[in-house]
Amino acid sequence: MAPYRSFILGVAVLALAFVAVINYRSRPPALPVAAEASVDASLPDEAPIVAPDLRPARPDEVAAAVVRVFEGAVPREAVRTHRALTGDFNGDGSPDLAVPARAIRQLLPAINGRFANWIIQDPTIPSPAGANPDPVLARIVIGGDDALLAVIHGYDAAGWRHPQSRQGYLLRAGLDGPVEIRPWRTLVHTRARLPYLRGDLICETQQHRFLYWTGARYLWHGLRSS
Amino acid sequence: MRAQRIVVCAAALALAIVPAASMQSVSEAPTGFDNLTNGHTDQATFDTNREVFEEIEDIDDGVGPVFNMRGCGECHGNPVTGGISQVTELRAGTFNGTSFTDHPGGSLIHSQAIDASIQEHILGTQFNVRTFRTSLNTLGDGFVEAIPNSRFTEIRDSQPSSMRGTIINVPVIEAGGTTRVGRFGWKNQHASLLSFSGDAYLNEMGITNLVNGRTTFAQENTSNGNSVAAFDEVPDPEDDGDDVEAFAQFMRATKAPPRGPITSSVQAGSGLFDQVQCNVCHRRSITTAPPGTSINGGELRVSNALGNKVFRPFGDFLLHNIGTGDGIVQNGGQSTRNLVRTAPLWGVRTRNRLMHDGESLTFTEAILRHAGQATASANGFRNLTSTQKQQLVDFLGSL
Repeated sequence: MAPYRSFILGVAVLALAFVAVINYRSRPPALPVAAEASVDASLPDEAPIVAPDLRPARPDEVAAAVVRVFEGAVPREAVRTHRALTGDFNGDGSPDLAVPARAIRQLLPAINGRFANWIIQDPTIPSPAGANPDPVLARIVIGGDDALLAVIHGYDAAGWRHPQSRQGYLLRAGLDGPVEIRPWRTLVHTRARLPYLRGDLICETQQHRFLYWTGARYLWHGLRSS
Repeated sequence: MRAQRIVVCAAALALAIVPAASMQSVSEAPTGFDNLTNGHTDQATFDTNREVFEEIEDIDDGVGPVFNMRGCGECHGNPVTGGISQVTELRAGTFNGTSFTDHPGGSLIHSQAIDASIQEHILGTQFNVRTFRTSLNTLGDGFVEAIPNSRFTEIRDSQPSSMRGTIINVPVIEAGGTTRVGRFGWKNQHASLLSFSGDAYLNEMGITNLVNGRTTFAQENTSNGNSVAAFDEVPDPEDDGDDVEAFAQFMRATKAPPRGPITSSVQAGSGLFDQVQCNVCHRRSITTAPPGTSINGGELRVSNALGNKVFRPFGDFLLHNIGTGDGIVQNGGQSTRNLVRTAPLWGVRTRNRLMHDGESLTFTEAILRHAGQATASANGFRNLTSTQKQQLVDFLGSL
C-alpha cells in the first residue's frame, strides 16, 4: 500500500505544480517585476594615436600602397610617386597619403566600376546634404584624360603604410604648381572665412586654394574668393 | 520517507518549470508600415496620438521664435508617420584642438524663424565645427525604450575590443534627472521617449513644454544666444505636457519597420553581412525587458505589448567611432566628440541619403566610408566579389 500512496501523492503534487504553472503563465503582469539596474558607463579617454609613423614616403612604399588600395585600377606606372604628399588629412591622428596619378584609358572600367573599393569624388562639387542633390546624383565618372589625386586614409599609428589601410578616394583633381601641406590650425587665425577644418590641408600656394576633408568628402576652398 | 522524496522532487520540478514558462513568453515584436498599433495602446488612442504627432503647429500655438519644422511628422513621416525624412538639422561649435564648446545659443542652429531679424547663423570662422544630422526613424522606438540597461552592457561586452561600443548614462527628464543608458538620438542623448519628445518639441519646433510637470524644456531658445522674447507672444510653457505625452505614447505604440521582399540574393547577402562582421554593431536582434519592469527612473513600467519582445533593429544603440565624426559634444562628455550611435538599419530601404550627415547616396559608398572601429568590416566588404557585394547591397535594400 505504501508505494501506491506514494504514487498517488506524487501525482497530486505534480498536478498542483502543473496548475501553478498554468496560473503563473496566465496571470496579469506583476507590477513591477523588478526595476532595471543601473550600469557603469565609465568612458574611455579619447585615445590619441601614439607616435604616428611620420617617416618620409619612399617611392616604392607609395607605389605599393596605391596598388594595394586601388588594385587593378591605378597601376604603379600611373602614379607620380615622387610627388607624394603625407599628412593627417582627415584629422583622425593617423598619417594619410595623397599622390597625383593619371587615369589609364584601358583601365577606366575598373576605375569607375560599380563595386570599386574606393570612392570617386570631384572636389569642385559641394556637399549634397541639405541641398537639391540632383547635380550629384549623376555619378561622377573618371575620364581617360583626367588628372587624379589618389588619397589613402591611414589606419592606426602606421597610417597609410598599414596593411589594413584600404580606405581610398580617387579625386578628379590635378595639382597645379607648388603644393605644401599645412596644419589646419595655421589658418584659423587668418581673416579668411573658413569651413570646418579638421585635418592637414593640401595647399596650392600659387592658386591660393586648399583641398580639405569635410568629414565626408574632399573639397577645394579658395582663399581669395572668401 | 519515499513520499517525502517524491514531494521534494515534484516541488523542484515545479520550480524548474516556472522560470522556463516565464522565458517561453518571449515573442517576436510586431512589424509593419501600416499605421496600426503594436498593442501598447488601443487603436483609437493610437490614432488620436498620431494625429497630435502629425499636427502642423502655428505661431499662435507657440512655434518658434526659432525652430526647424512645425510638426513632428514633417521630419518623421516616411513612409508612414513616425518614419524618417531627408530633413537635416545643422549643428555647430568650436573645437580648439583639445575640446569642443557649443556655438552661442547651443550647438543646434535653427534653420527657420518667425522673423527675419532673428534667423540663426553660424557666426564666424571660429565656430569651425559644422555638421548636418539626418532625421531618425522613431517607428518601433517603444521596444528600444524597453531595453533594460543591463542588455547594453551584455552587447558591449560581447563585442571584440577593437569594435566595442561606448555606453553613456544620460538624465531621464521626467524622473528628475535620474540617469539611464542613452539610446535615442545620434549621440544617444536621451534614454526615454518622453525626454526625447520634450527636447524635440522645444528644440526642433520651438514649443516650450513641461515633461511630467518638470520645467527643463519650459524656457524659449535664443537666437544665437540673444533673447527672442520680443517675438514670443505665447506664454510659457506653451504645452502643459499633454502633447509630449501623446508623442511619447504614439512612438511607444508604433510597430517596428518591416522587412522588404526576401529573395535568394537577399538571403545570400544576409550571410555575407555576418561574414564581414557588420552584425557586431548592426546587431540583428535585441530582447526587451519583461512586462512590468520599472524603467525610466521608475516613471514607466514596460507594458505587455512591449515586454519580452524580440525585435530586429540591426543596430546596437551604442556609440562608436567609425571615422565619420560628427565633432559635436552633447550629453556624453568630450570623449564622445567623434562618436556616433550605430545607425539602426531597420527601414533603411526608405532612405536615399545615408550615414549621420546624409552625405552618402548609395549603400556601397556608405560602407566604404566606414573606418576607425569599422575598418575590419569595411575591408571585409572590399574583399568580396562583385556578385557578393551586390548580394550584400540587396540585403540592405530588404531592411
